Amino acid sequence: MTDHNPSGSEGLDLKRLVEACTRRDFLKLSGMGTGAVAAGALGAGALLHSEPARAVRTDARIVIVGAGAAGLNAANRLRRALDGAEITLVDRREDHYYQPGLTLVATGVWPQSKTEDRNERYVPRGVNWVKAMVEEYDPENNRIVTDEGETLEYDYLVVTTGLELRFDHIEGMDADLIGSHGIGCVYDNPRHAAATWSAIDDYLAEGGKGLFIRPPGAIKCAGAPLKMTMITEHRLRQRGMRGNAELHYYAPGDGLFSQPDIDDFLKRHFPEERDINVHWHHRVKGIEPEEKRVTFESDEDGEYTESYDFIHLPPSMSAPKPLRESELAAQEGSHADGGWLEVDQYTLQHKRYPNVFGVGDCCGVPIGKTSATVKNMTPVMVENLVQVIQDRDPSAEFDGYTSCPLITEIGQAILVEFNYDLEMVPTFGFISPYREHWMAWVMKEHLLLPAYNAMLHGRMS
Amino acid sequence: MIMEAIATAIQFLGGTLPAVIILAIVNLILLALLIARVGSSFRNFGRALGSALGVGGVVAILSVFLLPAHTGASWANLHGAVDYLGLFVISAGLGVAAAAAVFPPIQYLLGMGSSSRRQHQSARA
Repeated sequence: MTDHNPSGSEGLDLKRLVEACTRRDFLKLSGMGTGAVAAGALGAGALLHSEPARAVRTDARIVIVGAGAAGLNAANRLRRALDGAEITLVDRREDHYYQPGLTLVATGVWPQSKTEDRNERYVPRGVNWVKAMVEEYDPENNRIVTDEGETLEYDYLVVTTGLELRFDHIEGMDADLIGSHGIGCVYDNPRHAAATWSAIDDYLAEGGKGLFIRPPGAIKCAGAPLKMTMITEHRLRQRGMRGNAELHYYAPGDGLFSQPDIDDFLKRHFPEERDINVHWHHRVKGIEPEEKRVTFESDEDGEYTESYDFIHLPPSMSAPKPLRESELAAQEGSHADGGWLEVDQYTLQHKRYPNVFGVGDCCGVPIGKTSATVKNMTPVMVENLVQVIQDRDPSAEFDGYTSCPLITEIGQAILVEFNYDLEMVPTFGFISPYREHWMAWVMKEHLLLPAYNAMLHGRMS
Repeated sequence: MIMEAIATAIQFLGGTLPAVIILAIVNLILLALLIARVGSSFRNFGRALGSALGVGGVVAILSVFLLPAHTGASWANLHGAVDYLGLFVISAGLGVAAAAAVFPPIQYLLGMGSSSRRQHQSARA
């Protein structure tokens, strides 16, 4: 297989990360009549409050660290799969962000509020929610310590912490700069996404030099920097300002996308159809916001400085500090640099601590720091955890499914879905994963959020 | 897959779900009254059905022309048969939903009107 390495990282595993979405089935929605909706609502109302037909009886103590997409999904599924388990969810955050929608906020398509939600809506009854953050993992003694000083002992641990944005890896950069000095960054939270749109809006009015950065290493929503570039280019055309702007995309490696067919498409599409200059083997070293200058490290050109009028500057990412500095983090190999959770990529069970499992961005798996991945990972993890509780070997396997509605301009997208083998695995065979479609855009804009919310309730597989 | 679609549909409807359920219940009550011939009947069924289908047809046609713009897209963003087929299927679905929503009240009103006229004619005779 051709080696495509958009991440610029050395390990094969760190080059295949794409953006979030979930499976969808909107044709069913489009055909709904009033009666069908009502009947469906009533049926699902019962479903949402039903107990599992064959819940496994156990008095196991299960601690889930992190109340993001993976943690809430896992909590709901474990709550239904187990009868009598003591399930504890640990996370101080009460706000919940629909992160797959941040690209739409950052490009002025959605208001910030559309991506903001509350975790309490999704925490199932019967689950103990400890509002603190984990400060220390002690897997040898089956316990964690929170930043409130509380020690929680467990029989089984599920790690779903997500990841940490490493703005500290860029000299002069700080998250508070987003939205000022022509700096944008789609990641992290809706406030930053809205601030990014503010900066882009100014850029659309003035034009000039726009720089778009893809940070090195494993990142979440790896399609997001590409989408930000293409949508900004489209916005410039909409405003009649394209002729006043020059756009540059900086990749840390020699690829743009981990799936080879899409990588080939983008390598033609960017320069030939969008007039976007692509620069390979570039990493940002530092930024001088007041002067609007950025310093690159380039394999070919060494260290040099570039001026800009707008820069989309996502940082590199790693596992959160308590996790990456713990015994649970990968000790060697391609996942060690980011301190990612050392799990088997198929069973999602920790390689050294069999009573520890992981789901989501924190996992050291080859691809898929996306909510689409979370959707497919979680049922596998739950099935395997239940089997381990029953003293059986975990048998369910995650195939690496991930998905990216790659928005090429407002109104159309390529619905890319693939697995560990980088094979396309389209959910809907009639929608080509190789070309732009309005249907893919409709799914992204209208249907993925409700599907995501259903996933948080543990209702999507 | 069906349960996933239902779960997604509930989330999709979101805050409008109570209104949709109320509308459905009102329509079911109207249908029950029609079947029981309480205050109205299925007389003028053809006219009622035609009117409902007319409303549905108008909604479907409007949807075909307005949906792309409603999604922030332009006609240039529709590529190939899949997108156009999707547009027609969604529009047809909206049209069917609209027709289903307005049929019970239309039928009730038309059935009730003829019933009143008959009663009036009987009284005169």
